[in-house]
Amino acid sequence: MSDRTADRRKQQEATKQPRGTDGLATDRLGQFGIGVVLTLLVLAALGPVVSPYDPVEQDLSNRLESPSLSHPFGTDQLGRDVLTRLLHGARFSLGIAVAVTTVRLIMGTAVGLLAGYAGGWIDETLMRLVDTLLAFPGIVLALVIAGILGPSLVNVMLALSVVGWASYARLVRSNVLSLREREFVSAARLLGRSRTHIATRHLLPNVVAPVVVLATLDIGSVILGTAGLSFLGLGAQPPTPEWGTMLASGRSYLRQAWWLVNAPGLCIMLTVLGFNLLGDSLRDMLSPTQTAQMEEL
Amino acid sequence: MYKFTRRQTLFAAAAGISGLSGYWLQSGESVDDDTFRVGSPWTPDAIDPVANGWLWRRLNVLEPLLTVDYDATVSPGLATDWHMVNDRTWEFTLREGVTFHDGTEVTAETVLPSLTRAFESSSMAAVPVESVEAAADRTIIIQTTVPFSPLPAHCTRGITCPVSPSAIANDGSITEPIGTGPFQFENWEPSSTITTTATPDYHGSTAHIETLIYEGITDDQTRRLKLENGELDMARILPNKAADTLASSPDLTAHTYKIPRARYLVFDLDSAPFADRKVRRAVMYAIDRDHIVDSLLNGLGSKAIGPFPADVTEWAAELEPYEYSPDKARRLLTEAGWEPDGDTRTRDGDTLSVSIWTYNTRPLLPTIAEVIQTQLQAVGFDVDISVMESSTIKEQATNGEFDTVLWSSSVLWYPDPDRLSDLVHSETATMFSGYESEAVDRHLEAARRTADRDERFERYAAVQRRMQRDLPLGWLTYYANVIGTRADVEGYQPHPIESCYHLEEVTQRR
Repeated sequence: MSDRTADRRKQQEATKQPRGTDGLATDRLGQFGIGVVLTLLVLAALGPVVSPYDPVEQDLSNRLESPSLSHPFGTDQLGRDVLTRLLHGARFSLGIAVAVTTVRLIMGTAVGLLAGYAGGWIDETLMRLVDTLLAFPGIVLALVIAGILGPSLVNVMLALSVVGWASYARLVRSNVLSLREREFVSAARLLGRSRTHIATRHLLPNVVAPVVVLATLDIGSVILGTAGLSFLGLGAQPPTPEWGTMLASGRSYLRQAWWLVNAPGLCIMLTVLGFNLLGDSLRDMLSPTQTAQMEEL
Repeated sequence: MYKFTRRQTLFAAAAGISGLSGYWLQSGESVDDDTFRVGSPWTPDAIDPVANGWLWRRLNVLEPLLTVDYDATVSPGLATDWHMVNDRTWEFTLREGVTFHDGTEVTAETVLPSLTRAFESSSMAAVPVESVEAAADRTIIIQTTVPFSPLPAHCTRGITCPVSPSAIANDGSITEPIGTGPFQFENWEPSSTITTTATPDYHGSTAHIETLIYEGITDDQTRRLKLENGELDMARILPNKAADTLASSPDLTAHTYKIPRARYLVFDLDSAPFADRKVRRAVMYAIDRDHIVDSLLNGLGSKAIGPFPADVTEWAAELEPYEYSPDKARRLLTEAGWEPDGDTRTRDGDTLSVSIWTYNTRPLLPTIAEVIQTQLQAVGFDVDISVMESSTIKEQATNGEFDTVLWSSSVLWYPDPDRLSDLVHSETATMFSGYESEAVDRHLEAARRTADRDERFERYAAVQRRMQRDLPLGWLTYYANVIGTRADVEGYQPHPIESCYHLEEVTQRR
């Protein structure tokens, strides 16, 4: 990813034209990313309505059938249509990813804004907390939290929300630090605006762009995290058609029924890839100046 | 970027290829020699028989005083004869002409230290042994604190296998598993492999295979792949599904056989709704166990009626089975006050919702839980499933409330029906249903006091009938094991309790 961005930056310098202006029109990978994400959204919305099968109803006479016209991705160990379960699973995965990312975004932005603008001991305390969180491998911490709370999808969402907001706080704080020295902020202060007003009206709108970009990039990792925790048995419980859970229960049939593992595996891969490419091109488009800064995170 | 010159590239390629060929040569070598490799899910974690004796026993490095025969009964081992002197005293006569792998003769004197050590260990805390003595050169006397007729069965366990006195260090730890079996210890890698060689002057018939290597491989797919690739000669405990594919391969053979291990539901008798016997009975009528055996288990294993599978052990009592009948289940639930209300039943505003706890180290359990979930939903239960660690389940179910646990365990891992005490005795049971029945306790205790086989059978049969009526545990299915071997492996006879693999009887046509 970084190679690509580096190349592009060289290209930008060569043409002396800001990368933002040509946008998605020439960005093939970004188009692909958007395509994947849009397709997924449509499938998640319409798929379960269109599919003739029930995602949890068992049909033991049709176990482990290989892919065919009536079951394009075969059936699982309890005779359920894998495609239908994947479509329902897309709702879970996307829904959870968006929810978790929103929570992370709100928490992180609030903390970052507070730390950056208030400064002093507040800044110091909050940033040491952020450092601690960033120093700890996120998935391991999530594993511990989800393990203590007990296996359920809600707990996985909680765990993933708690561990992931630190990078937002970092990003917002560093932006605020440079923004608060700018003329328009000083002007607002001279006009006697309250600190809250300056923070919400002048600083917040200016940090939204990089935060949204980071969030798009983050969705992929949240999907991966949810699937990972579910695969380990901490997330969705059977018979919920969650991708990670499907992967886990299909694992013992790897030799007889490859589609049980490969179908959800490919879904996870494509979704994460789609969101990452989309986030990547959004980043280039929205904030070329922030690129270097984002990369450090 | 750094550019490789043409010469460097060629050199690197040559080095890579020669490295690979070295690997090929090496891996080719290990297939042709006289080594027999067996893989099973358990990793070797200790040398000490008190901790890991069952594994050393399975490999037949260690031999116990008494062994388990292929019909799951107690038979002679290092002791040729054993009998009850009075109700608390047992006498064992040792076999003549047996030596440990280090040359020490097996006598009452040399066997005594490890026996004392075993019976004093916490693993044998449930066995009330008071003292172990050497009465004569070949006679051992074991005294129990209370009359305890399952004692001979406990003397078949790996823990009690004698090791040479020279293997016991001054601080009481074991330095090397020096036993008396047809295979002797060569070396081991903790958590991974054990290497043994045939004992040259074994007191029975010498093993046919020269070197026996045991590999602990947790994942069943890995065991199976290793068998298919020729890295193992025997892979134990494969998924049921593998039986067909193994049988259809010309290089491989599948052995399937029933074992006394059962899957069952443990009900919490102390909390609603399963405190009510009618609800427990409803569950048993609502589950179609034939269906589970035929489809999920691929027809391997069988539907369970009581704790013991009648075709493996003679201790199974004649019991009234719970035949699949959703209508009966619905009627029982209505009688218990749970009235239909939409899809789920309710009573006084409470819905009939239960959660099934299970674990996935036995791969089929979560899938079976899902089938049970559907079948219970059909009669009006609202069911959710939690897949957790088995140790977490044990802890939480022992200390708190639960609804039901889908569990799997051996019902006869030492060949005595006293195993029922672990399941349902009100005080000594390790199973967490909270079952208390004076009659059951009385029978279990009385059966320990007598050595009369018929009386014991009657007592244990009475316990099984009570269990069937009161349903602290709901029996679902028995297991069948799938063992895969290379097709050139001959003479392997599966052992029902698997206390020993008896690989000394195996030959390889090569």
